[in-house]
Amino acid sequence: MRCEQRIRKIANKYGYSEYMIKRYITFLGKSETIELLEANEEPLPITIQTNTIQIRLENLKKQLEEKQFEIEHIPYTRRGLKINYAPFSVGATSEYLLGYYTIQGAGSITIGDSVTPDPEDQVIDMCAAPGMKTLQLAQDMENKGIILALDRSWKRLKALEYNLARCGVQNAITVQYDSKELAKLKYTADTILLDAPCTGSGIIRKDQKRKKSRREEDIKLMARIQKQLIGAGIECLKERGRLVYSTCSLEPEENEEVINYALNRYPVKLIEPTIKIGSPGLVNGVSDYLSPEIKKTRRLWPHKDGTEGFFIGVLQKCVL
Amino acid sequence: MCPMRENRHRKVTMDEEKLIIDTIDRSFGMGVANKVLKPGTLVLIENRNKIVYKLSKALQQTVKCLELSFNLLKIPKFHSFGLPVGLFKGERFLIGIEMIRDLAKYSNKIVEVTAKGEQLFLYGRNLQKRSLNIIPRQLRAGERVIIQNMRNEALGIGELLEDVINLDTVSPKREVINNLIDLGTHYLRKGY
Repeated sequence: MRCEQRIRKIANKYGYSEYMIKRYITFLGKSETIELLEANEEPLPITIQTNTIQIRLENLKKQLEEKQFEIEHIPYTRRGLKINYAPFSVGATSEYLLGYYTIQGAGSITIGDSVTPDPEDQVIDMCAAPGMKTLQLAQDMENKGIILALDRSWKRLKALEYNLARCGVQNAITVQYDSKELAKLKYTADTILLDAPCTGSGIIRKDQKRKKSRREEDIKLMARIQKQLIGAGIECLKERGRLVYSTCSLEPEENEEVINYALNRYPVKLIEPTIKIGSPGLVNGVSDYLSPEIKKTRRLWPHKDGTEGFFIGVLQKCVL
Repeated sequence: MCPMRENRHRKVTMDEEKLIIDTIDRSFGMGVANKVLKPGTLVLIENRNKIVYKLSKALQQTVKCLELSFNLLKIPKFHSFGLPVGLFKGERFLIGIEMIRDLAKYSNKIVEVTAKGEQLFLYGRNLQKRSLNIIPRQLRAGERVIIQNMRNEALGIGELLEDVINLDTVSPKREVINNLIDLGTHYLRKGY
């Protein structure tokens, strides 16, 4: 009873649904939960991602500094810049309209940085809209090769198309399609990005409404969809190809358990992501059945890394 | 089930290609169309609009592969691919804003504006004489021009309202370039 009262008190203090606090305490412990909740109260810094198809990072930094912006490079990203001071909105500069950068969280930039397709690769972005990570793929590919960018929402696809056109991406094909049915396209890829739809509990810093907007049942529902998506993606992966799975959720059911499902069901292995921040995926206090390999996944935490909450796992398809 | 839009795609016909080339050359100089459109194939996606895209060879091959699956699955097909070139509106072809970077490389119909002019133009305003920095003297009223800032960055397309040789006698506050399309109108105020 005392435990439940404590949970209720914390939930009321920070404005969360009680089930979320109970869950966080289960897999983080009480003091780290409080650190997480405190971190979620701080607004995210404004960060942008340089579009190297159009401009070099140093030149963009210089141009914005000439307009009195104060900017620093985000050290654990390749193309990320943090805006410490902006004399006017970052979405209203001519540099933004010219497609020189996108406005993107540091965690999201880090995830996109980790995919690293080769210029001549065939790439699928399974849930591409609104296109920030698709743009990162195109940059790494130097606008060569092919990106098949899919999304099931027509409205979000419009935003994807606009963002890609604004940024000068010429190697993408966009299709309105439900990626759960990916295998029916009979198209295989060297690299697949699955930035999966999720409950979004990692981006409360960006959107405080998410403290109460989801029910506990939604976690299981999203996990079911994510497992379908990851299975569909793996089936379309070439041998030795890589699938990068990411979410902006903190929930193990949407993260480690989805990767565990893939490891048990498909001929894939986990490889370490090439990112410079983050902590290993959660293995203890989550489920009894998680493979110890899960430690090769990564989590970004608002209270440890100063970013949005993200999860990333990189799967490589084995040679059969 | 998410609602899907029906899209059809095809290569542009010879007449359509001719119209595209004529429109670009007439607006921005003879031979400019060939430079900005090649290499590549022009393909059109038709739903409510008829939008033309430029596809590389690699994209074309992928489109062909996917087409077979799309036909079997009877799904609505492609939303976009490659670089948007413009769209057909009735009998006319309207050049897309995405082309201005390439057009500025090969056309000599470039007008450079001041920093203030850049700001106003990107807010959808017409340009006054006092906003102009550099403008080629041979241009005549009615001609299309690429508007560039002082860093040679293309901002949009305008239409001259006066012969350049007459600009010396025009008041600085007089509007001399009509804003046809600018990056701000397209990307900011359309809401994406």
